Amino acid sequence: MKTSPLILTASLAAALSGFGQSNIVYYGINSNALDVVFVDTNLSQKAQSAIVTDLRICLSEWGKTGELRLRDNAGFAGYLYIGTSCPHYPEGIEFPDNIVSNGTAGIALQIPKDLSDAYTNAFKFAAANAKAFAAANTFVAFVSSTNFNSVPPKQISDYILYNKAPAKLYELAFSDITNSLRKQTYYPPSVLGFYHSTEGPASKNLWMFVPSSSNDRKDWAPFPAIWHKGKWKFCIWEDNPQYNLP
Amino acid sequence: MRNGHTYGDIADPATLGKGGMDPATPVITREQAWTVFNARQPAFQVTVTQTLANATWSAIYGRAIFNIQPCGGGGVHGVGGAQDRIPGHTPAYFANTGCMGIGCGCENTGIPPAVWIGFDHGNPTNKTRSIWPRIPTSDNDANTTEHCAGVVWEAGGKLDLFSLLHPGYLEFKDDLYFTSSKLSVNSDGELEFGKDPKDMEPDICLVKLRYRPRNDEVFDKIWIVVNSTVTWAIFNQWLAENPDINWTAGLPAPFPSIPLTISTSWFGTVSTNVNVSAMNLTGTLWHPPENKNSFMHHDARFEMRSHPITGGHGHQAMYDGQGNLITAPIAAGTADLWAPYSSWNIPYPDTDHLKQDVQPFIRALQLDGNPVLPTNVNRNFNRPCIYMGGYTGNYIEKRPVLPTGVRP
Repeated sequence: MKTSPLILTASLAAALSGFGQSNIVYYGINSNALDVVFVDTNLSQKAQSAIVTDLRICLSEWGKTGELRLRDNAGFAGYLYIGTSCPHYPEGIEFPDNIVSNGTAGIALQIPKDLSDAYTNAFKFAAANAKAFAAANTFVAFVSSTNFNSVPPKQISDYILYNKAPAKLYELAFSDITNSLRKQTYYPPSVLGFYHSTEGPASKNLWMFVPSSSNDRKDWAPFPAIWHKGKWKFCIWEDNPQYNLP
Repeated sequence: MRNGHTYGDIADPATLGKGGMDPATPVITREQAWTVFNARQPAFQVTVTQTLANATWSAIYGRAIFNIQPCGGGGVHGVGGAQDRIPGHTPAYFANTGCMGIGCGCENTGIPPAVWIGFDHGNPTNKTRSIWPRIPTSDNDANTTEHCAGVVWEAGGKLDLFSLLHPGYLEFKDDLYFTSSKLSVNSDGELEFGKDPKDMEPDICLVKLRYRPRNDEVFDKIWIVVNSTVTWAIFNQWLAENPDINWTAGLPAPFPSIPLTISTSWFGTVSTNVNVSAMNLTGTLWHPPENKNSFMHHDARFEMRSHPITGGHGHQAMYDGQGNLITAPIAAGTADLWAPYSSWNIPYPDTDHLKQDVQPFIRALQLDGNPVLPTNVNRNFNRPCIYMGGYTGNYIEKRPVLPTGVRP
């Protein structure tokens, strides 16, 4: 298991409070500063700060390969290029990349209105599911820490869920599960990475994408986790599993 | 107007001659053909069956069956779209005649050439559907697009869309233009690349060739898939990192078929299920078959996965709706460097299989020009694939379908 120091400092709570932040994000191996501007000029300063905080969470590790590609089209200065899709975001939402002129300040990352609207909705969603959101970072921090190595076989089902799996299966597959989970590094999720789905044991289930990386942070992927019985658990849901039990 | 004819009972030239007919001469005049044709509108073609008798030998008689249709590519001015030239959608150009029949009468009419304008099937950039069968979706515009081209983004890059057309378009170039569902086409007919796309998120453009004189009629369609430089680089790096397939030698051979049970409900719904109890999987290293419905394996209906062998490698086998093993990519299963399921048949909670076996497949299909985006965390595509090309072939070389054959 690898750990990410960032997990200890960044949190969804920071994203949700959002005060005291200037509208600046950082990208690239040298953490270059980049102003942020919003298309929606009616967006409150609080909402802007919360969004910027969440963007920082996304960029803090995944954005290290980011680079600016500038050009001279009128009204469009260039784009922030990160070669892979954002592992913090769900499918269908694009991480902002438009770079625009920003007056005397130079250039800025432009947040389109549909994205700030998505964030506004996500903040409401987070407020309505406050307990689960608060537990998300605790879960990610724990599975990323060396303390996770001390979880005994009988408790591994507190961290991973298989549909209709008997307790015996978790114990039998304990080494397979833990060896697999230790191959990846986990990072704090974006507030956009939470969603409801009918997939899961209940008629409506809360899921989140836990950003993960392997191969020295070259390979990024969103890893799914489900809110189950008051706990977050990694989960690859199968409707009709056919376990091979002795 | 052309009136190519065929003969029924008296088809040999000698008999034709006795009937007073010449294989190179139309049965009726052009004026007569127009009269018959116009009397039966609307129609694209009129078929005439006529009994004929010989004036000298009255015992010799027969039937002449011939077709009448306007000269040209099926359109008013001899110009048509390859999109409507079914089957095949093949563009073509005939300088003087669009008539392929015996005794056709299109020559020297002053009618423009017969042209079906469209994307050239012989152009090395264009690819024409090679993955069958068609899987219909709710998007008929996508369903009926049978060409694709995969390109790799470059700074300031453009793709000359006219260069992809069959040369027959040249006389009509001023009346032709292109539209695209994504990116932009400039006044020279060039698709202009925008930003470098992200890995596995190519810019997928449904490009339509349109003809101004006929209310911007769509003459042909093609998918242009502009891939990220990252996609190309990672795929080639993956190829280099997989120099051989020696690791596949220990994989279990799949079953040639799986037993199915077909049942009909009270409401008449027919369902097909695997009769697992009829399979003896003991000692086979194979997990039981499961239903599968993913565009990644086209029309496959069932999947079997092997247990991981030493080194963590695995084998996937796909079966069709009749339970037969599929051996033709892309519907077929392949060898996996990393088996996605453990010996307990639980999915491994890591991304090894995703990164080493699934994503290279996605990249190969996109680089080949398939207009597909991964969905559901890389478990499906947003639409079916249409073409298997060189990149996918490279993938199959590294992840073979049947590295150890089939079980006897």
